[in-house]
Amino acid sequence: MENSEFLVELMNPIHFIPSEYDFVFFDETLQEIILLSKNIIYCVSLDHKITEIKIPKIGIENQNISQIKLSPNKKFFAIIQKNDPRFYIFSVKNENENENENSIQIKYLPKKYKDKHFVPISFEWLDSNEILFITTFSLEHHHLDLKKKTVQKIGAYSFVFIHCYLYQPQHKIILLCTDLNYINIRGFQFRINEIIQIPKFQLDIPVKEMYSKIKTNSNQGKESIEYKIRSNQNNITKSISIIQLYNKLYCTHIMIDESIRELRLYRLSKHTPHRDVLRLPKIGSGFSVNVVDNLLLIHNSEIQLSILYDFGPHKNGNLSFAFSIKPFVPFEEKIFIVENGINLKKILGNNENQNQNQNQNENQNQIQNQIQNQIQNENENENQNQNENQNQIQNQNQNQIQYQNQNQNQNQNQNENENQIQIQNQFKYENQIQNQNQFKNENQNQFKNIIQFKNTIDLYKPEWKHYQPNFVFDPKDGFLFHFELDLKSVALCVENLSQFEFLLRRSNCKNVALDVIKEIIAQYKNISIINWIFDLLNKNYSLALSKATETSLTGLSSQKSQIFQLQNPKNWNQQNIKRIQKTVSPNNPKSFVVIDQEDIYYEVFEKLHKNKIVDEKFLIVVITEYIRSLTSYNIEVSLMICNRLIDLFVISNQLHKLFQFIQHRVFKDSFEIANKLIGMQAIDPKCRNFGIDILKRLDNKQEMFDIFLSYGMLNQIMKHFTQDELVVFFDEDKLKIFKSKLLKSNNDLQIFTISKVFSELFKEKYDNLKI
Amino acid sequence: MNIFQIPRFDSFFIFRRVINLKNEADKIILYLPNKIPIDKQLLNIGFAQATIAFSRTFSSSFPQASLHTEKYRWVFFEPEPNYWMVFLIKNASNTQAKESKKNEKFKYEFTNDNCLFQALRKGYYMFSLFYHSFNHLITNYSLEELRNKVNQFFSFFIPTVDFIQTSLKKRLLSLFQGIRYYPLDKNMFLKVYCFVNMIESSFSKIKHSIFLYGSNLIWSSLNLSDTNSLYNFLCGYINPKPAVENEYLVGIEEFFIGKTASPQLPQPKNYFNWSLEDISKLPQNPDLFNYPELVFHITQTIAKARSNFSDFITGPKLDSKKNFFLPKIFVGNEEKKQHVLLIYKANKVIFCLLVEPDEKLQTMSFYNQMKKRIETEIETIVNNLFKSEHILQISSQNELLYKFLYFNEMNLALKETLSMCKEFELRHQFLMYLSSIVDSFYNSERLFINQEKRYFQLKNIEQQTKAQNQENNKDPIENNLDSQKQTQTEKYVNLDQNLIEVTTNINNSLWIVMKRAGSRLILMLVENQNLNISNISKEVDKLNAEFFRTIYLN
Repeated sequence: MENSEFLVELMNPIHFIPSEYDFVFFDETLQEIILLSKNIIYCVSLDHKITEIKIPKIGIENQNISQIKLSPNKKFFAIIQKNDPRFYIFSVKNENENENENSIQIKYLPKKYKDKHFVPISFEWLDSNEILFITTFSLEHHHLDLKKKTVQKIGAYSFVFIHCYLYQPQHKIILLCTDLNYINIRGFQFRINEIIQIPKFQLDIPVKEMYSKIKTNSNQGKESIEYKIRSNQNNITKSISIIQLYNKLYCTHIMIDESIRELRLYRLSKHTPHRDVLRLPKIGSGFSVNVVDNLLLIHNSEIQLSILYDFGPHKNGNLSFAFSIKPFVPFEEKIFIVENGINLKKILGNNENQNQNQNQNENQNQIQNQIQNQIQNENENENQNQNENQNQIQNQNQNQIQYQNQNQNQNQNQNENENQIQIQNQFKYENQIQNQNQFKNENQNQFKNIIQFKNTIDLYKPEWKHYQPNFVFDPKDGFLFHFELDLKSVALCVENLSQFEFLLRRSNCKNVALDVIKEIIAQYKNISIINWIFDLLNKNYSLALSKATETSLTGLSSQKSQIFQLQNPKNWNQQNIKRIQKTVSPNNPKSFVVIDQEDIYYEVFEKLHKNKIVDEKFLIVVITEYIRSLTSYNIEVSLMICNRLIDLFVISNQLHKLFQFIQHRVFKDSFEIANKLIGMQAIDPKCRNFGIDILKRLDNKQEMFDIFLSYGMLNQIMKHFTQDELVVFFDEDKLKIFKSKLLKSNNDLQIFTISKVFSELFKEKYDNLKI
Repeated sequence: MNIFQIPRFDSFFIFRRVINLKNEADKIILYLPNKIPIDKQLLNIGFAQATIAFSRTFSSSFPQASLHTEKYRWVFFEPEPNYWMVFLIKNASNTQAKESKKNEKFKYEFTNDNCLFQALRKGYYMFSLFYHSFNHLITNYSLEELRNKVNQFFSFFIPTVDFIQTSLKKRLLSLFQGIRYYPLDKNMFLKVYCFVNMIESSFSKIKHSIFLYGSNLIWSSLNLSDTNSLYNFLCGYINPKPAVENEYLVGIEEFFIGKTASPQLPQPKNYFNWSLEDISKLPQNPDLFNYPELVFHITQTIAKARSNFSDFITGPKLDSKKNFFLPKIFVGNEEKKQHVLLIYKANKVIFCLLVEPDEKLQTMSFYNQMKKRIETEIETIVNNLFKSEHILQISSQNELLYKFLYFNEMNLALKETLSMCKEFELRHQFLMYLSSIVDSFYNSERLFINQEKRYFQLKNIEQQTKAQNQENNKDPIENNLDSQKQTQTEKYVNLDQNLIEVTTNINNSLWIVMKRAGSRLILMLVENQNLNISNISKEVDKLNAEFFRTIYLN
């Protein structure tokens, strides 16, 4: 990997001026920026749409609002006021409706519990009509009763004390830290009419830290304890998060102290969470976590480094790969400026940023190298402690991989490293640092407002808030970004099969993967690599086909014709395949993006052939490998690929090979192939025989008749068809064609015999047949 | 007392037609047996030349032809312009000794012209596989070198020729020099093909390859003519056995597989009884290897090999790591190029690699790399092929119910179940008659005319040959069969000149159906006295429906 490559880039930056708003935050449930200004809430979505929501007069000053969140349908909003123990729920102002009838104003005061006052910590909208109140001692699940204009408690849990919590809106999971030691974690998942308790687990925090916290907290009075809790809450909420990797949920905990620098992953499931440990680099601090395309992205704000980890297809989340992040890409993307919540302006990035990045990169190479060496050394040491097989993997990855051995070894590794995450593959760890990403406004006069408050962006700022999966919110400078994997850069890093597998697990990687395949073929790499790649693609393709068949069979049971089509996987057409692409989820670590025959044909084979990137003989080898792979997964080879292969055999003058293919029926019998072969009889008469054989097997006499007639195979027509069939198949036009071809044959005996037969057969219909 | 003598080899000679020779003997390239006095040799060659010159008055060129005399059968073949190969076979005879008088009657029906011609043709193409051509050796080396190589090669080749052809199967198989393809499903075929591709792409010096399982061909990247020659070499001539005792096309597995090494290494049969000692004394030419050396090397390597042998037969010498045995062959579509023949054997698999001559071939690392690459993949393929063989054996049991031969000129595919026809083996009348039918159907020259045109121009003499064959076959049928009434022959000539179908009944007991459709020929035997021609037609339909339903035979 070279320094000029980027693996992760910031996308879609949204900018606003924080000072212009009374309240600013990023709503994880809505995945929108919420900007409160006077009595208007501006919701800025990731696709740069701004929704204005007017809020009614509620008698609360904006400055006193501690929290405000809109319901998912944006019809209600809930508020916590500073120094107020109540939760407020209001409906938004809707001009079309009668306010008196539909608007609600609910004030909810949690009851006392053993003489303790419940202090509101926060609330979360579970649904448009369901809300979760989190207080210092309880978790209350309420339903919004619009008729009675009140909230009805669905369920509640009481705790000794809730110090902090984490909520994951996508799966409606809440994790609560319920003790002063910050080690006991309670979890709940809210489903429709059901609350599932996640087994309790403990964060592994060293005794020293626990003791000091207990001691500190125990010496404080009630108010000071609360203050301390809030303080620690910030620490713990920064260090833990809920992430989803390949359809598995994890609670991550970043553990940094003098001796330990680890990321702990607790798998959230019905069973007691299984802990995996990822060792972090020994340099830097200020770690935070994001997820990009099922990859774990760990930022190190001190040394301004981000590293990507892939948990791959291995069981128990064993780490298989690690990529470092390149510096953030200069903003080539358009930046959307939210000006006063009304205007939306766009600025293009400046190329100077790249130069600056390069200079910064040079200055920071030393730190990068340190990190790189450190990670490599750690892995090497770990590997030394393990068996020799792991070393083999390193060697294989560094050189050309023999995939079979590699898979075996990887499986062995899985068994050995179930409880600890190891960086097994020695990718080049790039430790790219980015201090600042400057971008200037080229049209300064046009966008004066922007220049006034900012023309540079500081990255890795301590104020950054990382939201899952891949958002960074900068409330101070007013930015929202999201991370995206730069697949083209990833593709450039693909040097072995494992890395290609890594690429295929990324969403939207199809075009890039096709480019990589094309490149591999163009380099005349070892055919076994191409073989492996095709098998990998077609394995998933086959799975997708069978899944789609099942889905379609159940979903389309009323449509007989479609059922018939779907029951036979050989009849897949492009519409089916498109449907498959939609149905396949990229979240399964063992499945990849579906790359079908059409993709391979048009994006790889056609381009290689048309641009003459590889010679015909090698292309034949490659296409045959692809056909072999398709056949091994019982996928019917499409006609266009068969046609292309036949053409290549002819062009490269290797008909003797083509005949062996036809002999073994590599190409499925079809009229198109038969027609093509008969048409090739001028090149080699054998082609005609093979073509007729196919027609015989297809057993469609009408088609056979038409093909025979079009190629003037009069004898075959006379021999193969009965008189009754001839009467049916011959119309006036076909009879004329037959007659003209018969006369051209100059075979008197033939002309005489046939004309005699025909004059009897068609004497009533076609008098003009007489020859 | 009657003494019956089978047809026997009299002589085989190769000569060239050169004008203004100082010494007449210079025209002789090879004469076997070489003990025959030079005068006698020149006499026979002179007679052959005269026959050729005489026949040219009727035809501008001299294509396949034979000369029948009372005692001898002469078969001529001109593989290259002005080079002639001639077989001289003494006809079978029946000697009746009455008192002191001997009355010897010769029977020429035991010898078939087409079979002998095929043997000549096969011999030449085998030779040209290893040494390019007669003219090439003379032009690039010397006449003496040509004589040496021809001598070496044909001394091993001639003993493999079956001059007697007493069985139906032998006669037919010697006539149809076909290739037995392994009937693999496309999945397995593609696996083999891709394996071959992988090896070829891993080693750029490999230009062609052939993959056999037992005596069955699975894949060849060579053209059909080269494939056929190399296939014949691999299947039959690596370890020639006396033709009388064994099948003409000997399954390669008999030599390669399952035989424990005998304490005494087998000696390949050859005309001059070459021994290892003789071979070691042969002059060494870096460009032209000695054929006896190849035959001995392969025979002895295989004999020493165990059943789990998986290694190179040619290439590195197994007993000595420093030496290499690199036989070279000439193959190519347009221009014949020299390639080193590396034969790799693993179980029943014979994997031949034709490699461009290179210095790397003299290093062990090259073979070690290649062996490692092959070994990693071939085991799976061998196992799969073994499984498919078992399945094939079960599925092919139905085939044994029919006695048929299928031959396709397009790809030289040959398939037959004639080994069951034992009771007809020695009825020479029947053989004679059958041969005549086959001859009328199958003209071997037509098949190879395209491939041989670079050496000589052949005229399509199909009509002449047919006429000749019909003429030859009339008498034996009339004379030898008990009664002409018992023979019913229906000959149907369709509008398509390529299609001929003959249904014949012999002695009210055996029906012979021969059908030709385009390039395909099917011969079927039905043994049933109670069938009439209508029933036979149904039997043929059954056979077609069972085995040939996937091909167009109309």
